[in-house]
Amino acid sequence: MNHDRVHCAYNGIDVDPETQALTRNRLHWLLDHLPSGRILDLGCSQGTLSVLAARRGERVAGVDIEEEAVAFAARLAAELPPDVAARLAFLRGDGERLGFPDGCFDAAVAGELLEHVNDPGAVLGELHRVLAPGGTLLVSVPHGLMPHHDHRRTFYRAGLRSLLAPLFDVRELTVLDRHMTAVAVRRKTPRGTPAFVLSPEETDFLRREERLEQQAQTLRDKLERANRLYRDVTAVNAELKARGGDGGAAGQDVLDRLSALQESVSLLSGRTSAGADELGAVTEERDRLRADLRAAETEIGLLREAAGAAEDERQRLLESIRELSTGLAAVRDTADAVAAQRDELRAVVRAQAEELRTAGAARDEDLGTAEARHEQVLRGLHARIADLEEEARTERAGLERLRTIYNGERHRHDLTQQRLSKLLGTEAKVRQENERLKEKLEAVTGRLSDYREQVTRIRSSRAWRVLSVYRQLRHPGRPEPAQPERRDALPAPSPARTVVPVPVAAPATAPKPAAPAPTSLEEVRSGLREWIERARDADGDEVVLMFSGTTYVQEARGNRPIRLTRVYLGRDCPVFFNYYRWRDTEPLPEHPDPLLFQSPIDITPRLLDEVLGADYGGKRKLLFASFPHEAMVRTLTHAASHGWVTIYDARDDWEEFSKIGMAKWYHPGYERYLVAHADVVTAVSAPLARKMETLGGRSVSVNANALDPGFPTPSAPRRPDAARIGYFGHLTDKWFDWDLVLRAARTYPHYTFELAGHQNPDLRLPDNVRLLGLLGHRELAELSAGWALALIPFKNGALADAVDPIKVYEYLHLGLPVLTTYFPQCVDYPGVRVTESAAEFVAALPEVAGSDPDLGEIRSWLDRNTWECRVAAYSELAEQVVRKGREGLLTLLECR
Amino acid sequence: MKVVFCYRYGVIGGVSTQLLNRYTHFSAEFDIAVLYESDHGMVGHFPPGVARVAASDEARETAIREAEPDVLVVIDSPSFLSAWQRADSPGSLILEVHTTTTNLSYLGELAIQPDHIVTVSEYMRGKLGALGLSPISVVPNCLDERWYAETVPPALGSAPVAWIGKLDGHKRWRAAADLLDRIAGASPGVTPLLVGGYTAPAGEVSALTTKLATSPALGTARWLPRLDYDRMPALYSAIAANGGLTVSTTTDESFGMSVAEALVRGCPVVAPAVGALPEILPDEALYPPGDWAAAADRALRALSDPGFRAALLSTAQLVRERTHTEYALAAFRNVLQRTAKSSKVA
Repeated sequence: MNHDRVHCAYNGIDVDPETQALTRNRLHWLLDHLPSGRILDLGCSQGTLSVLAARRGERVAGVDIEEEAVAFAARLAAELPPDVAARLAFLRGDGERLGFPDGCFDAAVAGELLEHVNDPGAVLGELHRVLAPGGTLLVSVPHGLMPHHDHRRTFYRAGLRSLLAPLFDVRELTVLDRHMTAVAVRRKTPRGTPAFVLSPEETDFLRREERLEQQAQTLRDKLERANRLYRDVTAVNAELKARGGDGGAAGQDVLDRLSALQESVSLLSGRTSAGADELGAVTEERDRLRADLRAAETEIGLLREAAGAAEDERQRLLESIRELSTGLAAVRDTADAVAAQRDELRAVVRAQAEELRTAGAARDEDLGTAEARHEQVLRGLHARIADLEEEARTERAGLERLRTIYNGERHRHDLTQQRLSKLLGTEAKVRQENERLKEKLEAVTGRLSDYREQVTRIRSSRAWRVLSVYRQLRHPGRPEPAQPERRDALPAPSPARTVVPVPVAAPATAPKPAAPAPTSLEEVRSGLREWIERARDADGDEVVLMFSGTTYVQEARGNRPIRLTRVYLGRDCPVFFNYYRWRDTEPLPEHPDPLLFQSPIDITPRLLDEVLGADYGGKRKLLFASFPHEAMVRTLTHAASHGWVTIYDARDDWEEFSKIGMAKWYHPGYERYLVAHADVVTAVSAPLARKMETLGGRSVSVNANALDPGFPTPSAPRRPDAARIGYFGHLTDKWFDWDLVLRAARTYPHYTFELAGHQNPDLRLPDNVRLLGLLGHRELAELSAGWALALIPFKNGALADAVDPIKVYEYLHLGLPVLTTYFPQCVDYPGVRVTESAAEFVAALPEVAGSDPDLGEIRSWLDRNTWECRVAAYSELAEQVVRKGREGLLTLLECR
Repeated sequence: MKVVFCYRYGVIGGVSTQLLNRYTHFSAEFDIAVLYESDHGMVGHFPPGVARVAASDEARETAIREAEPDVLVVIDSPSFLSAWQRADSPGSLILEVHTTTTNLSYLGELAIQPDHIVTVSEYMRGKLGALGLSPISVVPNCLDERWYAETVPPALGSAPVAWIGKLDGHKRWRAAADLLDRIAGASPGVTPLLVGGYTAPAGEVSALTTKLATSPALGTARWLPRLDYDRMPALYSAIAANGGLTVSTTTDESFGMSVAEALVRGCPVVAPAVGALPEILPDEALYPPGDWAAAADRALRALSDPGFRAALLSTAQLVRERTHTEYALAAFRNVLQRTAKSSKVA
């Protein structure tokens, strides 16, 4: 009988708070690790754990060998709520011979049981039997020596683990204060028979613990004896004192007894003195031993900690070895499986070879039969061929007749075709003339509008009103010359210059329109998705992301990104075109080509993920950073990692532009970044390419500006007037050299300088300098037919050094000799005279004006310098990148 | 058991990647749901219905109430704590803390007592313990199987010295650029590499490009503002295979995820002895915070001394074990089960 009092300890009855806390801690740990289901609480004692589990909702069978404990537990259960009690059953039973069928429990608890039983191996065998496959076993035992009359063995970690391991897989083993607890899972196949064995280290440790316990026990006994002696002496002393109190009675008897008592007192005094000395010695000895005990207990604590750590390390190593063994076994299994598969395949191959041999023999036999049949068929065919040859001769004769008829018809057709071509040529001319007249009409309409405005202004002026009054006074009753019904009849004044029509301003009284809403991102995104689908299906082999800082693609604009875009669209290559807009309320532009998607710069960054990550059906992907914008810095290498070939196209010297107050967005760090990180860097001129090379420390290709072959030509052959000199383009004094032009005009007063383009200078111009305003391409072409020479008079400097003016190609296309200031890129262009100083420019003017450029050479050169050629060059550069792969750290963008 | 994870924003990488790993491994065992305050492309990575956005206080409260969680895990997101309270505190509450920044301040004034605290390192355990929080379990971040995939590192022609991070003061990118400049100046065969900063403010982008353009030894440097997370394992392997290393200049780390990623791929790291980094790096790899000369010395030695490189990688196996999904997720599973069970037993 073990006199277990777990119920009292758990509930704090007759125990100190520390014992109660330890007991609760242990039982709660077991509960926390106890799975749900059918539970066996073996060695349930007073049923405390069983009751807690039942309260949690489990069905529990509590079994204990002690009848009294089982009765106590049953009484306890009877006091529980009926639903809890219904889940509980307490039975008396022996753990070595359980009366339950196999596999009837999901989990079992053996709390403080294994240290009590005769044969722990037999108990574990029974637990293994009654647990279902995969069932969990929770075990708790005292950790180390815990003297108790019914404890039959002492457990340490290794001992407990080796006892459980043959039948259970130990998942967790932990020390809770003075106890050890374990969570183990039932093994499907036992690995031997469980037996309790301590390791040599544990045995040594146990001996040491026992020695210490023995010493402590001896000390306790000694102390007990000393205490007992002290109590005896005290009792005798008291009795003697009591007897002394009775000594006052008279008589001889008393005197005798007093005498005897005095002797006894004397004797006892001596004895008491000796006893006190001995007690003092024993007390000292006891204190010394107690101190030894405390020191020994401290040492035991330290040794336990060390042993625990060593055990953990050993278990970890054992776990690693087991995992490695399992891995090795799996590899061996795989090897066996592969070998078996190989043998099977060999057998299949042998069988197929046999079938092949049989089929070969059958084929030889069939071949003989087929050859005989073939011989017969061949003879029939020869006969048929002879018949067909005869038939063919007849057909050939018929064909000859048909050919004669066909030749006659073809001749007639050619004559008709020639007539048609002539008509088509006439049609083109008629169309051209029509276009010219239309443009002229527009110009005239514009001028008319201007004149109307002027007339309105004049009529509303004070001077006009005064003049009207004066006229009325002089010719009363005469109608007003500017009255509406007569205004139309006025003859149009002859034009001094062409003016682009200006839209009529809205009347002042018109209601103010509501502020337009910003473009919705979702609207753009929806359009983008449709474009991506079209792009995927497009016939072209490239897709282009043109990150341009110009306006959107429109016919009136001809800058480099737009020109390149037009060529790509002409090749059926889809283009995503980023453009600049001033306000987010500006509406999205429309364009007839469905392969073009235009996105404003305030929206593009939010679309880039979708654009870069889309599937374009295997097309080569080209990203043009057409100016060094921050969005390109953030995006360039990301695009490259998604398979885009990235191109930084230096189309101007932006640094120099920023110095004259333009390109305010310019940041040298951004441009340097793009030059260093793009797959391909091109520049429009050799000087600009050299600058980019210095900036990025890499090679840079020149891919100059070019000619759009669709640029108009004069409708009639050139008839240059030797005294007319022309220019078209921007007239800003930031780069247009007005001083130089004025000097030339003054030097050659008999020449007329016709300047077409934006901006009027705030200058007093000589009479032979005429400003034509902004003209369309067609008008320029017609006008140029009368020029003897075209100029590009820009200020010399770093800005001009980098430029390759598009207008030089257009001048040459129009057949004009060209005189320029210092443009290093144009030095070798045919028909172009590049000068450096103002004196040289002025001196060369009459010479170049009288020159006769080699039009054949120029035409041939222009054929090699079209935008088509530039796009072809980009395709070749991109192909090189794809073929060679990236270099240096940018290779990392292709890492996978 | 129904487990609901709550986090501020769904963005690829970081905490969200950890959540995806957890979903992958726990979904067979538990009923998992994820709630975000906002989404930046992460919700779509989960199967339909698993992750959703609860953008307002009211939506968060409703979502928690409807989910009826057994365990609610709130990760660095105070707004979900108040929502949980308003939803009558269903289930057990686990507070998970990854951040080391000022976002931590709310923990000092918590009005509720979580059932459990989870964090990623012993360093963070100490930090949270000092705020009076308990019980605390450490569950390290984990790296999924792509971090163990084989790659073919290209020959780069030079040894990269890489710095990976956001362009902010917490990661000290300016000090990093100067450190790379110093290293490249002392060892011409080196190419500096910076990765990250795609979302940095324009001023920082401008400052970095200026630095790259004007610092003498950064002429050959490459900056990749953005690289898909899937590419990172191959990147680290390529740096390692070409004799390079990564350097860190961070001011604090709760775990040191990018350092752990580099180590797992066999890429040596030199880093300051701050935050949780001493838990995953050997002493040889650590320099006193702010001692850039010491950092440069270590990096230069790593570039030329194979023995020293090996020493820098001496904790790599430990980090692989600690960040392995089996280990990290088993630790988290344990916390989940115990938290749920304790609450039921109580």
